[in-house]
Amino acid sequence: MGHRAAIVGAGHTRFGALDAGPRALLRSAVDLAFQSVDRGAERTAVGEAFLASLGFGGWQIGNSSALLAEETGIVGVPTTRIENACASGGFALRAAVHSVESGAAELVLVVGLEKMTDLAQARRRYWLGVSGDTEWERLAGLTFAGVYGLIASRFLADHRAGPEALAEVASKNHENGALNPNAHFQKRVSRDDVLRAPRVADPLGVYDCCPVSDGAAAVLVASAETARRFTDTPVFVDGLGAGSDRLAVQERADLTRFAATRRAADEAFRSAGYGRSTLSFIEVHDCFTIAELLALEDLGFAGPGEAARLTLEGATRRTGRLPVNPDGGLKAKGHPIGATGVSQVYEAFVQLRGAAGARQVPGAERALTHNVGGAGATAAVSLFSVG
Amino acid sequence: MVRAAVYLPPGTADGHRVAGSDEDGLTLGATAVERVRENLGETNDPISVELLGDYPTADEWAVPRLLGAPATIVRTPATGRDLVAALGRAEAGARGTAVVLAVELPERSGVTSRPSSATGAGAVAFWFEEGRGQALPPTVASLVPEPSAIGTAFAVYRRAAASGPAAWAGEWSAVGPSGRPVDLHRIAPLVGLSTAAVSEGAYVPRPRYLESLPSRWQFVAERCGQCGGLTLPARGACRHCGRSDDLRSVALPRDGLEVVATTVIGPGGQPTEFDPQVGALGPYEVVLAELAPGVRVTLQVTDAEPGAVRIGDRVDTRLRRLYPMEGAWRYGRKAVPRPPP
Repeated sequence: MGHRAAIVGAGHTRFGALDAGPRALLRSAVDLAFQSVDRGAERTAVGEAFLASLGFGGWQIGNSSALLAEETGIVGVPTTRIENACASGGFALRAAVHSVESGAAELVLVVGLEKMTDLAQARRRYWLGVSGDTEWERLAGLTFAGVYGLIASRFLADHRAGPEALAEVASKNHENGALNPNAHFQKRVSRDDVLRAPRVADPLGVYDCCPVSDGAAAVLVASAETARRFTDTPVFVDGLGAGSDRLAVQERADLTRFAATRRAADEAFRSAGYGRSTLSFIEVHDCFTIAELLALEDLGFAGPGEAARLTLEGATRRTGRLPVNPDGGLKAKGHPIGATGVSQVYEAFVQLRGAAGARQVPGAERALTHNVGGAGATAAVSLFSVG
Repeated sequence: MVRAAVYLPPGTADGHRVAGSDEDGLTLGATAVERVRENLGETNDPISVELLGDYPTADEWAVPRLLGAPATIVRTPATGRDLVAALGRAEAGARGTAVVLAVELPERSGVTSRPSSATGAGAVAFWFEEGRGQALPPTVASLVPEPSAIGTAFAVYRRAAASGPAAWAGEWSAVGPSGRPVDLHRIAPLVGLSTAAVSEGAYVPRPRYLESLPSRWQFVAERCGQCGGLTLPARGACRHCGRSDDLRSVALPRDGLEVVATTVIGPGGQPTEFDPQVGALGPYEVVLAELAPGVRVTLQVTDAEPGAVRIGDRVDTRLRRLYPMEGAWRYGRKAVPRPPP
């Protein structure tokens, strides 16, 4: 099976509560992406650009992709903002791959950005809620934490499980995040810390939730044919999949399975032509700890009810048989909404090229990224290998 | 003749319940009408309602929709004389006419068994029918009003309730995890809470909100004649097959819903518009409940301690206040635990 496109450069800002504003974050991520191209790339080589961003806070919710162009020296090329809430980045990569596959462009810039921490508390929480169902779920007093709390309650009841596996997800991802210099949280958290933390949406506590972060990430996507012009070790995009589901969780027949993820995973593996057992590590969308358990099952790495056991056994640790979120995941690395999906691709790029430093997964050859919008309303899955 | 009557707090006879923080004259008035209709088993009868009382929080546009009936609103700090006059008008009027007295009292002084001194919010509904049912002795015309409307209402209600099976006393209690009535003293009424307290809430514009009210307040769904599927909220198209040419409105059950999932929202987990509620009352529970196979709604739990409702439990639902928006309260249904049999 042939490769569909390749990542030839990737850049990543620090994630966290940053002084930098959105324009500076865009410039940093894109500068770092260009600097990472082994044989260099001119900005004039970029034929199209996509900005993944929710537009948190409304600072420039319209036409922000033009702002990307003017900040990064590519004014004139077609630019588009891709918005699928937390899955914006995964869908922007998909658009970029389609662009190079179609021949519309040979080199496409994908940037994910969110600036979230410069808003007042109340305004911030308002914006955190805009991607859920605002007409019903929200009027009952639910945010995403609440929706995932409902899902977690059902998941634990169905599998007669306690909250320990949820705590292990948080603890494991914090351990990985402690090795990632870009992570929002670079400190370890024990299972007990997680279990004892104040409850936000029972059974989810403070440490079961990802933080609100600023940050940006950028990748350069080249056609598979031209990739070696830029580097000897491109990271190929082998498979792409995406899906959608009903917006409100009350409309779903099955609470503990995300149909969008399942569809996206099936499509990605079908287009890549290889199976799950060949992957070196996976990056999954752990906005809440329960989401990582759902992802393991929906992506097909664990049978129904097996994700908790797999996690408690240590299989998903960085040294385990299937490392999950070696960069710390959304949980520890942080979750600047539009940046997250692109950040996952950045992790695939550095890991597969053996450049991930202290958090390197030894001998990584194939990787999966999984990016979810809201509580499963949209999902994108991508598969990568190193050339 | 008064055929049925329902009396809601303040001041149930045994005094174990006060109006909850999310109740006001409007929710209690609407609930009283709802209860009377349910009790009569004539839920599809057209009715007209004379709503009597002082409603600092009620919007004119919401009342008829909330009641599901044409309504005349007499906005007054009603006296006993006003109520008797309204009862007289209704008695002389058409079948199905209801008079609802609902009051909001700004200060709360705790549980009381004396309605005339009750605080919080309360409502009484009287259902009239010409020539049927049991006459209320004495007739309305001979009633001697007490000074306060609520005191008069309670007196009329007691006579109706004592007069036989045609009169019905509606009553419910809040139940905690132990199965015992919950002490609702800790709940401060939000009656005095300013509707302007929240600047940025979930933006459901008024037209969208109004359009959704049958689904939101009465659980009116659409049944597709082509595939048999049920759609709630109703949206003018079947969510299963997408067809829009063969839809029929059906009211789904409002009580005895099975809880599919549950969570307790702690400080910080709530949407902004629920900040005043969390600040005043602390954590709240939200459940996903099933109205019919595959038809579910998310509902906040009220009249119970957070965590009282578990997966697999059955809950009833009540009309309550949700949160203020655009200077007015938004109303919807909330879940309450079923009292133990």
